[in-house]
Amino acid sequence: MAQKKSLFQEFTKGIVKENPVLCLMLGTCPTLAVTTSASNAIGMGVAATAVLVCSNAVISMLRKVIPDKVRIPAYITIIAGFVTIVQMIVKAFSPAINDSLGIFLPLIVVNCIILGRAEMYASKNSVIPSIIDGLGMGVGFTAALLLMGIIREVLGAGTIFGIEVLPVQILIFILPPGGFFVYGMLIALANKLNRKAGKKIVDSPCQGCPMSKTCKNANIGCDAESTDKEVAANAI
Amino acid sequence: MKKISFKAVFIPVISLFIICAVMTAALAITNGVTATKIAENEAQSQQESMTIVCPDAVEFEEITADVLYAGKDGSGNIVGYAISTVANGYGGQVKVMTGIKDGEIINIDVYYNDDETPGLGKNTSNEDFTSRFKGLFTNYSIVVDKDYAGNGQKVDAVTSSTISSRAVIAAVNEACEIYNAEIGGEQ
Amino acid sequence: MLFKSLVSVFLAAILTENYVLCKFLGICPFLGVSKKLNTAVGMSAAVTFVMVLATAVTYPIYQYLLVPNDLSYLQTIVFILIIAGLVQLVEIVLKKHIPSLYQSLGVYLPLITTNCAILGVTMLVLQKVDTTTMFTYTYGHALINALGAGIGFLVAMVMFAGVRTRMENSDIPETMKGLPITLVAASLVALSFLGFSGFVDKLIPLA
Repeated sequence: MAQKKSLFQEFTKGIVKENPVLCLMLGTCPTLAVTTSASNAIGMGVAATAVLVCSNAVISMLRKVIPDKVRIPAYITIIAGFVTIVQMIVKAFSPAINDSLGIFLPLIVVNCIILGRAEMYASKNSVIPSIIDGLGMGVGFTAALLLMGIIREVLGAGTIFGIEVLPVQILIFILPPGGFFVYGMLIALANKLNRKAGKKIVDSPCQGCPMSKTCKNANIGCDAESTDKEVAANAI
Repeated sequence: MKKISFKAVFIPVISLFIICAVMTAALAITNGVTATKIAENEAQSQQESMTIVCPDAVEFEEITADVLYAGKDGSGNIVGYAISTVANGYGGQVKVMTGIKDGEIINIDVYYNDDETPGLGKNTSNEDFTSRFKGLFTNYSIVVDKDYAGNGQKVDAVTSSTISSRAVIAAVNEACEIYNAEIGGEQ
Repeated sequence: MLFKSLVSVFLAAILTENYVLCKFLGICPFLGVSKKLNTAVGMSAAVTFVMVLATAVTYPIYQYLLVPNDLSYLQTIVFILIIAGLVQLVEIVLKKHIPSLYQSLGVYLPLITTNCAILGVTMLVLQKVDTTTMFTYTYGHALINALGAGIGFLVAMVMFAGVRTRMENSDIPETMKGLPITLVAASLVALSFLGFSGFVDKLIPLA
């Protein structure tokens, strides 16, 4: 029973508390680029979730076999493999989604959520929790993307999933500036809610970034304040 | 100098190599399974596009692969040509199918423009825009209304998407040139 | 004609097709490393360098090795490994032979492997069509495009670093502090880049 509950928590943390897009600020590129419509957002979310679950499962399975020295290249190879598999499946069964996601489908490889979860979770936990973690993070990613997609599509094109709902269109919302603006507003909202709940807020994409340790060691003035205990310990 | 141990050097190399090999094998298998389906999809979308621009034809005969096709009706008479061309739009490629009969454009279909801006350049695939090409002649080059200098033929651009509109027009002009060069005189 | 088309490819990559502000590639460093001008410049210089180098290697490998052997489905995995390997190699070479350059650029290199702008550029140049010849980009075009993309990244980063320095002393509502106001500022910078649309076509008419 106890284990069941913790698995459930593993799943929900990715959706609300540690939402990769709105709370950890990861995967900003696809978040901004493909959310011009709700259906695009779902396509991207599902593709990334599939890669996340598969790569988490395999990396967790191999966590004792992969030598520490070459772990990052090994993770990247595994992730790139799954991304290509997902891409081929999407191309075969839903060419329209492949066309509308374009370059961002192969670019899931460098989505920091996936490498981040591999490095921070799957490499330290057993297979089942890693799969659940991947699933939760993937659903959280999809939900945030969908929210942004709906807002931008309704305001910018006056439609939801292609069905007309608004007579007026504010075109700027589906253009690049609108993407930055809507994302900024959503984060402001998430921060407000987090503050109310007394939680710490993340104010830079660097804190959750898998490369942040390298960044910190190199001392190149990444935004992240060293509030994180682990990072602080590392710096010493 | 540190002694290079077998374990420290070869184990990482070998494990990395194995991972690469396994992933590549998995890709090859997936590719084998999906390749035919992907090719089928592409052929089908091309077929659909050709039917839009050349509605009288029931089958298409390849003249130049992936570029020029002759549309034939049930009894084998040529009822038009479908020509596929590509141009650079605002965000990436724009692919256009142009249907031509007797030196006149029947219709065009913008069958790939997903790199264009949604709400702007992407509107070039709407019938509202593509129907503006109906009935234009292949002998005169087409320009967007903004560039019109009094000769040739003009097409009104999609509002605030001149670049994407120009790309579609460039592709259609290219198709007309192919038609004039390959078919023009014979008909 | 060739020169004209190269210049137009270069300018388009910087202004109208700016990878950060118009295509949303490389947003993480754009938001994360743009607080100070000198780090912004250092990061962009390293990105530009790796972009050109990566394109120089991946383009021939794709065109002459993967495509003829029907292996183009291996593109993603091959490219990312090449980029990761190249970054490592450059780091080692710089560290050993040009320590002064390593001091200013080397520290950014490990962060670049997972920068989506690099992988994005190497993949996008293979899809583009040269409008004057209607063929895919030649090697020269691809390199110029990569260089332009890097310079475009630099321009966006430097502009944005300037904007953020200005914001430092402003009185911002509590809720908007941090990332939200940064994103709104990015939105305004992106808006200004929309103004360039059609600019390159007008400047260098190719017809």
